[in-house]
Amino acid sequence: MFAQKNGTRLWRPVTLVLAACLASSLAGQEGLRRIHVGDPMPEFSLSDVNGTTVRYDGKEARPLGIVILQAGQSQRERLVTDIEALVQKLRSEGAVFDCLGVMIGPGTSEYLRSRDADARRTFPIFVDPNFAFWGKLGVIAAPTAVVVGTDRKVQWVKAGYGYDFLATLHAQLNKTLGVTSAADASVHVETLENSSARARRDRHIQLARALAKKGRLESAIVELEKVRDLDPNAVDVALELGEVLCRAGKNEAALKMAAQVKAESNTDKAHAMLISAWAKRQMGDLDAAAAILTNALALDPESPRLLYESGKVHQARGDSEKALTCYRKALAGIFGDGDADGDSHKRE
Amino acid sequence: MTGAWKTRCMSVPALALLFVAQALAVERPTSSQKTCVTPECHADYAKKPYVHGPVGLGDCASCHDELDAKAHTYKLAREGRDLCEYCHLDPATKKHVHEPLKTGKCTDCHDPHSSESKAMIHEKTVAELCAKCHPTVTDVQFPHGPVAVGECTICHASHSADRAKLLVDEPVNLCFSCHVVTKDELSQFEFVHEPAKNDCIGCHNPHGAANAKMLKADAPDLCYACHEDIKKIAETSKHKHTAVTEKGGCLHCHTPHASTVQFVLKDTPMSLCESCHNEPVKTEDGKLVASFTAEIEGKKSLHGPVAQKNCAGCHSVHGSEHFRLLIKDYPQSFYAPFSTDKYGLCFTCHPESLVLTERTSELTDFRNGDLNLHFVHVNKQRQGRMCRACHATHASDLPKHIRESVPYGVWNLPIQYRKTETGGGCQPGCHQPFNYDRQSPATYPELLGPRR
Repeated sequence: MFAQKNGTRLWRPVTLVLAACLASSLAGQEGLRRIHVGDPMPEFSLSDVNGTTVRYDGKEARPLGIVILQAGQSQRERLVTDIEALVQKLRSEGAVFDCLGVMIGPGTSEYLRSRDADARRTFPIFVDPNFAFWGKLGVIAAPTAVVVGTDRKVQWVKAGYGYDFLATLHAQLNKTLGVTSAADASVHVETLENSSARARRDRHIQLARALAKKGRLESAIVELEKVRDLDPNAVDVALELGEVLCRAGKNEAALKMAAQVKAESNTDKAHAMLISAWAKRQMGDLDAAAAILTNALALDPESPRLLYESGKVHQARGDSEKALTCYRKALAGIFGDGDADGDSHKRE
Repeated sequence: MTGAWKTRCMSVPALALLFVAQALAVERPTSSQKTCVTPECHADYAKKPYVHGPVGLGDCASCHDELDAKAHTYKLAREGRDLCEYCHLDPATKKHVHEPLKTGKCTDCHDPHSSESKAMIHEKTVAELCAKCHPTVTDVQFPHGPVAVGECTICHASHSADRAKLLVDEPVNLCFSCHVVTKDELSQFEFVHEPAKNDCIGCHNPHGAANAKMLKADAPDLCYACHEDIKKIAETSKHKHTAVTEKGGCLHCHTPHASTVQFVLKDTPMSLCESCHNEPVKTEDGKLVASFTAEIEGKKSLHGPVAQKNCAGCHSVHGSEHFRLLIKDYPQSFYAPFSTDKYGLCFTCHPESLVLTERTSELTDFRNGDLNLHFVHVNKQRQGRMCRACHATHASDLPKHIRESVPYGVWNLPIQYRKTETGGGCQPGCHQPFNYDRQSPATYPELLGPRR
């Protein structure tokens, strides 16, 4: 355990040790000369700049972090801040562990005395003027992080304050703390690309929708055709384009588009037929429209849009009663059976 | 000239015009009419695709008051904005109002009777209309999508808005409404370029630009607009990195929006470096830098930064005062009088005490008993050996990335280093064979001591 020399316990059981020696780069490939992954963490004692001593004997198991820093390194402040933030984050998430640092090199005392009390509480840093701790672990270069598990064995060693230092340290601490089962020692590379085919497709579709909403149907068609060029087999795009063509009164083009849709699901097949029926109705071929809708409703009987379109065909034929029946069924499909008779409307 | 005479003189052309008009047109009614839009008069108003409501209803009195039916003279029913706002209540209710609306000049944009275009605008497209006063969108090679299709109102309200420049939403939301790289997606990335969070127009011209992706300028100049510190390093450093300074520079390594890798890098640092340094590369001064990939390929012992794939541990990638873009001083020579400054690069990670301490049992395993052999080799005023005398910079097949041979003129003298449990030894071409042992120190001949 970690305890102050006068017997007051400074930290409770210690099982996780993080030793990080400040630098912009890293240590040898082996990480440590004397301690390796799987080895027991040796006992040690450290003093702070005021002479208060703590001791680690590993008798109790509780996570702890130790950081050894080289005072004169250019990225010292950023590394210390990063570790403080990480410790605070983990503790705010309920993690119970300790973390400390050990600093070497000229300027150590001045730097440690300049730290504020909050920082010292979060991430206390001790001194190693004679390289005793450095030698005990066999540190090669700074920084080097060591994580010790609840079995008091070294679980992980990493040297250097590289691009992935904090991310991999975080992942390993989470593993040691039992937050995650596997520490990902490598950074998963992913970038947010706004120039991918998917991104281009999405923005043309979004623009087309905005244009269609404003009634700029010709422009919306142009945008959707750009998407078709990018992805000629996209069923959703073909269906959307077919609808806008219908709205624009380009019935022949809509029929052609509906015929080109390579639909697999019944819903998509019915949607393509809706476009054909819509175009046929606008062309005045009501019989053809009705026949298409009958087939479409066989595939997707509950579709409000098919029912609405059927209503439009009946209305065009002058059969208001059938048209109203269809419209009510369509509304029932959207709002539920309770509204099939227009109850909600009546209530309003 | 008297007032009466002046009036008479000015009436002459007016009368002449009246006669001509009467000769050309149908006879104007001389009594009050129910509507002006008849097949005989003002018929064109109702023939265009988009007709103002009152015109369609033939209710001209909504906007016009009859002054004198016999003379066929009328006046507007209300003045300025009031004329339109009598029916159109909403347009000017928001914080920022479009100037023509504010000044009651609705007819600058709209035809009050009818038009070939939706919303009865005077021009064929909204963009053409806007361009009459806002000529910002012409002649750009890379126009913004809405501009290209002539639809400014995708982003701007035509009458009034709560946001400056009559934007219909917060700028960032506006961009994300089509560029569905949403805030949620951005939040999944740990490293997000600051402008990508809320200031797309920091880099992109929202109307269009001469640069691809509507960028206000090409990298690196665009990036330098904010990253002045990098600009200074890149442009004024003694040793420049062409990957940074050439056109498109920054984007060779950085992605402009977000990444899972620190510094919004496109890939892990070493992968990025190897995208060029997988083969010999010529520097700006014509010198050849060997292929880094070939240098480390298959090697058993890698220098720490190489093992951690962190080239930036030793190299200042934007530019440097030190050769090979090193972050600190590291002489190119084999020998150099020792000073801590000269070894600044190595002391970035390794403590100075490693070379300053003659006797130690902690700092290093390269010692004979407690005699620090790093001190012996390096800490000399004459012929102090640079680290590279014994260690390969990037990698080697020997432990501790010790080099297999040392250069001596054009020769390569083998070191023949071997490691033991408690020490090691070498049989180099540069001195007689020596062993060292931490537990049972070897006895060295006179030539090694006494020092200082």
